[in-house]
Amino acid sequence: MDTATSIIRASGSAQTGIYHYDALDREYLERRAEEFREQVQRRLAGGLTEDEFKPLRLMNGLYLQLHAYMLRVAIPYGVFSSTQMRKLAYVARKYDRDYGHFTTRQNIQFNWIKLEQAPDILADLAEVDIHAIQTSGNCIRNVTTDQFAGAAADEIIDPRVYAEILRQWSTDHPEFLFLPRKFKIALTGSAHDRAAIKLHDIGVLTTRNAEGEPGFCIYVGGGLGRTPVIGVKIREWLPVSDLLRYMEAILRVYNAAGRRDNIYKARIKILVRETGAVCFAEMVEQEFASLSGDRFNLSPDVVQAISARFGAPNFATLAPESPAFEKAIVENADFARWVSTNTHPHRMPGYISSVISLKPIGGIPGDATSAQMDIMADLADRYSFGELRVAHEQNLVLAHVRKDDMLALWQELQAPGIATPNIGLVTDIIACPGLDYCDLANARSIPIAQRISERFADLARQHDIGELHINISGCINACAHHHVAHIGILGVDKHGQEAYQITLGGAADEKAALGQLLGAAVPAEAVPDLIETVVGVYLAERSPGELFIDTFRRIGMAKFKEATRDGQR
Amino acid sequence: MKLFVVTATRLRDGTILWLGKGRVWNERFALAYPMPEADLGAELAFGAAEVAAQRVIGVYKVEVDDQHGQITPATTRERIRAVGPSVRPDLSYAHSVGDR
Repeated sequence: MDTATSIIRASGSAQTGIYHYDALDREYLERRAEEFREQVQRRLAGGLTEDEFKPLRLMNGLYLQLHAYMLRVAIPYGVFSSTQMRKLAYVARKYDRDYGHFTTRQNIQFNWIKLEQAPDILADLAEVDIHAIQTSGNCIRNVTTDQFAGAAADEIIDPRVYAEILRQWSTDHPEFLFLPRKFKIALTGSAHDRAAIKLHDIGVLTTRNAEGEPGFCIYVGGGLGRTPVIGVKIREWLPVSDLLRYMEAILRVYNAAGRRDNIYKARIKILVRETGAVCFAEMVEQEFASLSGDRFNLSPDVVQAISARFGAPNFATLAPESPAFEKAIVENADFARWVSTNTHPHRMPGYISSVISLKPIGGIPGDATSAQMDIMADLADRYSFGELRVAHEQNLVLAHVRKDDMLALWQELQAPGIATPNIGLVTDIIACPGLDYCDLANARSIPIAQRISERFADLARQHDIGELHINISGCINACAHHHVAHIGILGVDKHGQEAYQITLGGAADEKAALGQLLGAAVPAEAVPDLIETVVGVYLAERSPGELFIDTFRRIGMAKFKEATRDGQR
Repeated sequence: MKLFVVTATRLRDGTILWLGKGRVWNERFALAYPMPEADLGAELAFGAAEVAAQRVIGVYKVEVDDQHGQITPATTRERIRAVGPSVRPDLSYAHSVGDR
């Protein structure tokens, strides 16, 4: 047991904001790690063929990628402690090549894992209550949520509590471990969708009914990949107490009626499309009515018990405004610029959420070295109650920072290169690992992101352009969610050469939309110029204060197509 | 005439391997032994036996370009497998390509 682990075990629930496991939870994780150790030993000894072993390793997050095995570690709903971050840094140093990659599903991936060491890694992770269970395979994956959960000023309920309930319900669920296909659930605790819920198999949006009671609006059948679909609403308002019963009903209908004969038609989106949303909703309601309300009822006691296991940060009573913070903004333009993009309003007076950019200019989106991980863990301890978040945009969040501390925090982020003031801007690019790492990819994603980032490096220009989301996927599986980017880039194989298709006008929020194809695929070296041209059209056409996506929605595709026609020949 | 080499992944650690002269697995691409497709049968059979023996997984042939005796994989995917991630030159195994 290393020092970091000793600290968390000795201190018990010293860190707030993360769900604290009890002896039963820990015994389960240790047992799973031991079970996997036996499976690996049998594989290495020849007792299991690769065909037999593959589903077992995938259920423990272990893939075989282009260069080595890749381990995907779950960060449940993107929330983790400084102790857990230090353990991830330790894994990066001891078992990998000193870095990890934070993903769009709020997980972390290690790219250079040795099969023979994977059981040791899982045992090490279990020491700090983290694991890789159900990060792959045809089961319910890591439930994702809003990176500002429990902190956001506009929050109706704390989605971490319900995400944890769903995690417990879906882990080793006897009916749902062998679904027709993988299954992803996202939920957000406010009416503003920061978790891209309409792009998931089930999307849960918190809302209030006419009486002002909080509940959930349920979407199903969203998904990207080769058949991108925006989820459809099947329940306008669901009482909080019925969340589990409704989830169970949806999964039962999908498990029974989803196709298993064709991997490309096995996702729930195809079932919803072929059945029709109205008919599918009726099937769910029928199943819902048949389930015992008592068995699945989320009583206030149950919710309170789960909530209590998170522990509440010991917030100080502060004035809403911080004179020191305001003064620093006025006196320091660089700090002011960072605050303008890398923060989010907090529900508690005197606090603010801070976003740490993992998108340095020319860097690899989502990558962090072990040294950076250790530094962020230390900063979390000193400034945010020892808690961190992973955003699905591949950045990290310190959710509860005193405004009084923001200048000091910003100064400390400089040296390790994680103070880039670009959240939501053109260089805050979401990119999958692409052909540099991924066995499925057709083209590289990361170098395209790096070239675009370098092209738009000028901060004043970035801030002038304003909010603009670029997502780059290296294949049609769309791990970077390119379909729903303002500017989406898809790597394809064109006669043996890497080429890139551009789409415009996608959105991942409550106005979710699929992007439209700009034109024919272009070679890698043409992409930055093409993006430059697209941005140029926006700048020329925008009304005062208008964002890229709003200009696109107002003027449509024609002017963008016309301006880029030459570059696509 | 198109030339091919045989590749695989080592089971225990996931390392990429290239089949060399004398049917010896090498970590260096430069030591891969190119041959015409028609002559690959015995090499692929050896690879299948290695899979059965649980030493390697994922055996397949890779087309290569031969420039004056120096071979490089014909596709971007295999060039990246031979050299390492193009975005992390510090992790490159570029030394694996080059003189044999």
